[in-house]
Amino acid sequence: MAKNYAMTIDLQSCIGCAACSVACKNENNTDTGMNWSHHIHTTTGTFPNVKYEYIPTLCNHCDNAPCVKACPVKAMYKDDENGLTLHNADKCIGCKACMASCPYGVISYNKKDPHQYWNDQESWYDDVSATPAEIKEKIGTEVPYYNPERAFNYEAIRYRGIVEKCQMCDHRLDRGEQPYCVSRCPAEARYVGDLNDPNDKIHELLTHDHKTLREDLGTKPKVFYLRSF
Amino acid sequence: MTAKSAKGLPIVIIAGIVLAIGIFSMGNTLVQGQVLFGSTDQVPWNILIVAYVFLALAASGMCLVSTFGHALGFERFEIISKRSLYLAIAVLIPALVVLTMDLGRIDRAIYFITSPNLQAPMWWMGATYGIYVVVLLFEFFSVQTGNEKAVKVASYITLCGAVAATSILGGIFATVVTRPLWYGGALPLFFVLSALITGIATLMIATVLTYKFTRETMSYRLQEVLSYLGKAMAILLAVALGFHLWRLITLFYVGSDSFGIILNGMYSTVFWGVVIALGIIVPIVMLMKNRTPMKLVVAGMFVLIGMFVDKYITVMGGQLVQPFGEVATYTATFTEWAIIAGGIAGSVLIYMYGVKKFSLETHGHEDEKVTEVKPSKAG
Repeated sequence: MAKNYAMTIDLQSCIGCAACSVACKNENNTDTGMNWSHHIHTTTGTFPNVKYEYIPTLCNHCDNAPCVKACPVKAMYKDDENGLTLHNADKCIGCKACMASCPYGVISYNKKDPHQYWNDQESWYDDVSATPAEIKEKIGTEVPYYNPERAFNYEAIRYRGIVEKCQMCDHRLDRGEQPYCVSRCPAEARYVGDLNDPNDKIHELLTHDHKTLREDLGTKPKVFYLRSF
Repeated sequence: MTAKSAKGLPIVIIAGIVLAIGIFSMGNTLVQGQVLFGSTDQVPWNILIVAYVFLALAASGMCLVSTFGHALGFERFEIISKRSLYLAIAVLIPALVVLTMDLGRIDRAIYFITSPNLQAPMWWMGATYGIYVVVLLFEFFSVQTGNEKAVKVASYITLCGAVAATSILGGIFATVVTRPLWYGGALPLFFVLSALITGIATLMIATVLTYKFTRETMSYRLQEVLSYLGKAMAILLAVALGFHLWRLITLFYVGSDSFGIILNGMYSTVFWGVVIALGIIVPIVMLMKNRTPMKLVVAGMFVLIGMFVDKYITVMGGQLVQPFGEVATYTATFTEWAIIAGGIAGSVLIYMYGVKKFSLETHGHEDEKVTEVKPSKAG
């Protein structure tokens, strides 16, 4: 039976350290400013009656995904095998219809080729440190922290003129591993499970009080926030 | 003829320079990418989309006016059908070029054919405009060769095409549930209404100024038709005013952040001052009586400015309010403006070429009785 992956994020466990965002960058070779894993934080009230809220965000892999409906060339699609909302970098024409239609603002556009910093010929301290370009040349990869595993089923580093977004580490899920943001969360606040498998732990987690973002829009998002304060 | 050419030469030179800057900016965009644009991840669509919507609507409007005579049998309008049709082509083709500059990977446009998503309004827009442009060109070719039967058939298709393409273009925005300025069935219809208004305004300006520059005298009949068009535009503007009011009222009831942007926020001055006052109310007052040709031009100019700003507020304002309340900003860059100006200059040049080569002032079935009617009393 086909899988239907969804994520839970336990907001009472989440410590707001943003390790998920850093891990995501390592795993998916995203450039500065390109955040597949992001967060909303809001501070309301005035001291001493202050409320601070930190909500980690990512693509919600909606069952009724507006980006999939808006994409004119099926570059954004629902994967029948795993229920994820995925992006085909080879097909994307860069029309940005997906970005305009996404209610969560989690799709980014490559205005330029990423990681240009590593072509820089200037070092931080002359004759002391190497230039970014020298480091890049020595290591022989696009970026020093390049992760070739991302290339398993998606463009390892995307390029100018196309969009990109969270793929829920489908390359890791494919071999039975949790997404990297899940495995690197120090508070173990995250979990990805198969909604189609009645024995999956996700069903137990979803017995907790939970919500999704902008449920009113009918997008049927699949990132569930457990136990909000 | 020499006088005509000499009179038109400065316009050709200016339009040529603007076009050259536009083409340079397009080339620059292809080389450097969209870093030259003001769009961001928060505001993905930029002013090129605004210009495309504005120009494509103008083209559809002029196509619709051309079908009044060609397809719908209003013989009175036949004398402007050819010019209107040609203008639609002259505006639409540069508009499509402007649009392509906002595509990150224009080289992959083939996927529109090999991997169509029938759920996507943007795919339908591409398909409809693709067919529509070809039929428009065929219709003009048939007018030129005097094949009346082909003109009639093509005209019916372009009539449907203009309405379909325009409303589908509106549908791209109208299906985005998360953006209150876009969402809902009213927007596609408003786009069709805008198309008629923008098209009539452009056609009036182009026709009157062409006669001014060529120093030919307009027949009373043509003045009468233009006067009718001016009156029709005023009525349509009143409907547009109603649309705007109802949009504000509905936004008020849902307490949308977008409401604040228009009512008293970032875009309130241009909305009330340019869209409503200059673009709708002033032209309605001007067009109430004595619709002289120059008055039509001035009113038409106001309408075009209002309509452009209206589309700017709709497209850009619709994107400013972010999913979780933050309000983004957007500023157009020189490159974006240069591409748009280049597109408009391209339209002007294509039109001037048509005036010179295709005798657009060809009159239909001349009716002597009508030519005696004074324009100011017509309608």
